[in-house]
Amino acid sequence: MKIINEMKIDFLSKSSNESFGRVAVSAFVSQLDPTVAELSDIKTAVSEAVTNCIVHGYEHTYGIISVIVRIFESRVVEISVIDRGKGIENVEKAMEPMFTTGNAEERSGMGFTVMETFMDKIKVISKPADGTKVIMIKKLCADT
Amino acid sequence: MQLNLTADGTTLTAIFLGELDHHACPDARERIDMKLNGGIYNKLIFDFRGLTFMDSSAIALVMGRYKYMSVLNGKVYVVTGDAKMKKILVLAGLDRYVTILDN
Repeated sequence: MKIINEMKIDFLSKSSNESFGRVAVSAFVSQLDPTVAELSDIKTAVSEAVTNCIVHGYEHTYGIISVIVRIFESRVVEISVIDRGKGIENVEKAMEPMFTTGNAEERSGMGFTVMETFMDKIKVISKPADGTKVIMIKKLCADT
Repeated sequence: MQLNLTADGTTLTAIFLGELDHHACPDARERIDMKLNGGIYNKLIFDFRGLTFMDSSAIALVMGRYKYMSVLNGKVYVVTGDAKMKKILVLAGLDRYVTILDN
């Protein structure tokens, strides 16, 4: 598929940047005139992915989170959220609903489930001590 | 995020405005818990109608308060007019523990 547009942002893994991450992605995707619901789905999924980097990837230490958004032809949006933190031992297990290695007061274990629910496709690539890359794809409805 | 807490008898209502994410949760958690610890409440209402954004962080926030309230046989209610926010809460099975209201 042909790439039409692309952007990349790097920001510090501070929780105050969670809103910056999701708003930046939604601003970039806005050029496709998505519906309010589609934009809201994307913001929620990005928020989950970025929060995972902060809580699990960097475990509240500071590192860089990269977000790459690619727009393909036929209104397909691909969002990658990358950290170079501690990585995930068992990706399959991490993706199970309600599973969390985090503090129960802080995380519900529903992050990946929410991403899967609001995006069309999600892929998680991770290596312990290397970091984690979450790739999410959503096809927007035909432009009206 | 803005949080207004109002107590009426044994009912504590937490009215949220703005965006509720992981960043906003610790402050909300602390303020609600401080209020719960300082009084006798058997009903806790999370009013999410004023939220413009919510992610799964809200699940942990509500669940944690539910655990606290259930010790005293208290009830927890979540009011959300937004179908998507409701979907996130139901996804986690929260509706088995707390009452989710549309209005």
